[in-house]
Amino acid sequence: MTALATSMAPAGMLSQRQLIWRRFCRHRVALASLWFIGILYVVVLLAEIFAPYDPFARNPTGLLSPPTAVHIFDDDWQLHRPFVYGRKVELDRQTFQRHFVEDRSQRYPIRFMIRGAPYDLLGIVPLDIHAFGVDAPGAIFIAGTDSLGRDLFSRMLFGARTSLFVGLLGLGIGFVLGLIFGGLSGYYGGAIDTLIQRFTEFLQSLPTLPLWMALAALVPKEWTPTQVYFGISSVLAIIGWTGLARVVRGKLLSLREEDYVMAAKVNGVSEWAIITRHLLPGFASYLIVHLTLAVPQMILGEVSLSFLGLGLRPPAVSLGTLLLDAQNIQTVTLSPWLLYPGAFVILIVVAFNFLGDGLRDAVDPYRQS
Amino acid sequence: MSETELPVLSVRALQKHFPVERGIIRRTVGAVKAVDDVSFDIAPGEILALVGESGSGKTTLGRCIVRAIDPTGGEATLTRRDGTSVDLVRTPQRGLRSIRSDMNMIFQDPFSSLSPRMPVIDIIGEPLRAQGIARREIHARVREMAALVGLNLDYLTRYPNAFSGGQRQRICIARALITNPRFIVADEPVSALDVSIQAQILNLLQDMRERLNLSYLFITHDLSVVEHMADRVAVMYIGRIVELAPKSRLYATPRHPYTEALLSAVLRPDPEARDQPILLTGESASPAAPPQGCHFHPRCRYAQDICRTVAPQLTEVAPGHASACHLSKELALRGVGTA
Repeated sequence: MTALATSMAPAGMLSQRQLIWRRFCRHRVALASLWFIGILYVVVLLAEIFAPYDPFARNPTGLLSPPTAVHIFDDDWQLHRPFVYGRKVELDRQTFQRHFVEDRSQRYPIRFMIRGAPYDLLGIVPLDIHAFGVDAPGAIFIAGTDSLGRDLFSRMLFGARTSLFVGLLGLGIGFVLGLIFGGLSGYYGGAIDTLIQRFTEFLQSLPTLPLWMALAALVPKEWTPTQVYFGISSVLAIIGWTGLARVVRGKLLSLREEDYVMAAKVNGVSEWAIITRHLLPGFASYLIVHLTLAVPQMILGEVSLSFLGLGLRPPAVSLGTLLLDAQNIQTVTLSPWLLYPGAFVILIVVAFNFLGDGLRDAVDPYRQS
Repeated sequence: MSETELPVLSVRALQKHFPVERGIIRRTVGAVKAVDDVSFDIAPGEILALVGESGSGKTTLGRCIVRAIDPTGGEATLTRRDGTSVDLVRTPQRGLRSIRSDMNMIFQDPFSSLSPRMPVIDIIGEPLRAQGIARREIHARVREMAALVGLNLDYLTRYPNAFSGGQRQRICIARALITNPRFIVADEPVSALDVSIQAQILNLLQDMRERLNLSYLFITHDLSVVEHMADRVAVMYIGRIVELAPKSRLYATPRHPYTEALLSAVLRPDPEARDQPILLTGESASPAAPPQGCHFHPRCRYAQDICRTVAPQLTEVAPGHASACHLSKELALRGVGTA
């Protein structure tokens, strides 16, 4: 159908898709967010390459090491390619706290595509190439290390992988549930509608956090991290579908009454074709926007559950479990870099929100631009 | 329009009752008789105008006939182009699909009756697509039909929002006519348009009738449009036809007080005209609780005792002229001089 139209479009006329893309590109922040999110997903998928260290490798001499400074000038103001200094530990005689200071006698240039700890890329390809790093015994911790001396930057990449995909998985399950329940409710109406709506209201009226906690408590302790991961996604989805179901129902109810739906019926168009060709395109754009805006909620859900110790548990790495380390006042005052995962979460959520915002404006054909 | 030819559409005792529901358990407490015992015929090539005020059931009647909604009872027999007859009321929706090429509907609002996310070429071709016709042939016939209704063929790949109201109504007409139907329900096709565009669309509909040998059920509340278009006129009041007559007869010698009141409200471009319109008092009664006897009696200035108790039947008062009024033989009602 659309192919027919496209094949007929004379040269110099823009298709609907091109128009949407044009309007989207005009929203600079949204475009930047799209790039950020796109690159982020690539980076976390290939986290083994982009992380300089194994996320579980301990560094006994570098517990709670602050972020390593990257220099390009040495003490004599000589220009070099980016490098880091060695580290040494000093004890403060008055507070008896250990401090890391730079050992200015040693310089380690940052190398790209360096050989390091071996790993299996995507679980299959054995490799030992890392995107960047320094030669041993030097070390580069661009976000510092945690209390066990593990590189926080590497852990953030692996944690973001978990969190970003828990979001997608939870969203996928919630999306299917929402479409089915909302669709049934809106298309058939009547008693089915009443039943589903009351059930939705019931779910929505339960306070989110206790419900999450109760459901998370159902996840057996002996499950492997992967199973827990699916469990948590499902928990998020079971609560997350209600909003979407409402939207789908409302849209179907209003679109069902439109004259063009009646026209299609009078023209003998089948019910299935009415739903897929007339009703769905009317709010497909709305669904995309809803999905984009729902991803950060899922991510936040995972982060809050894990932060409270109800979701994923260490040793599983997610942005939420990373923040577990930042729960006490000591960390915040002495090792503020442990809060970086929190800043990362904010960045991701804001980017998704801007993306959704830009999409919403772009897909509205009646908006003059 | 010979007497022996079968009517295109023959409607008998058609009813549409909407249940009125109350409370949480949706108990049915009554019915809105939107269409109540309506009968009429439409001859091949004829335009029957259906007039009446808002809420009189005109649109519901039109929708029942094309089965956009399912009537409660009665019969509506359509004679197809191949000479066979089908009862539109009894055929299930699935069986109607092939019959739908013989009838179609034009909607009042050209803005809401076109899918906003579909290019015009697909909108016009949709009835053919639903009949399972090959894409290549649809394409050719859409271009032919679009040219016939006066659309610019270069713009067929655009979406409806690129078109003005008049052009959109042309698109609706092209969609309705593409399967070469015999019968069209035109539900107030010009009332959403500018007056300057109305004439164009009306002329287009007339033109199409002559070229394609169409019959119309032309629903409207605009009596000047009726004067321009109709062969016969049916007047509807609260779900019932109260008067049915050829246009010139109805305008000159109405036999129902409601028709008289409607006609007196038509403005005539004559500065000498001094006739006062007959102002009806009160509101049109609710079809959920119509008055006893004649539905019109609370507003009728001629009402007698019998009108309050006995419902009048639609009876022939002159050849081809039927009226549902106990007093139609006695009253001398005021018409308007037809041009």
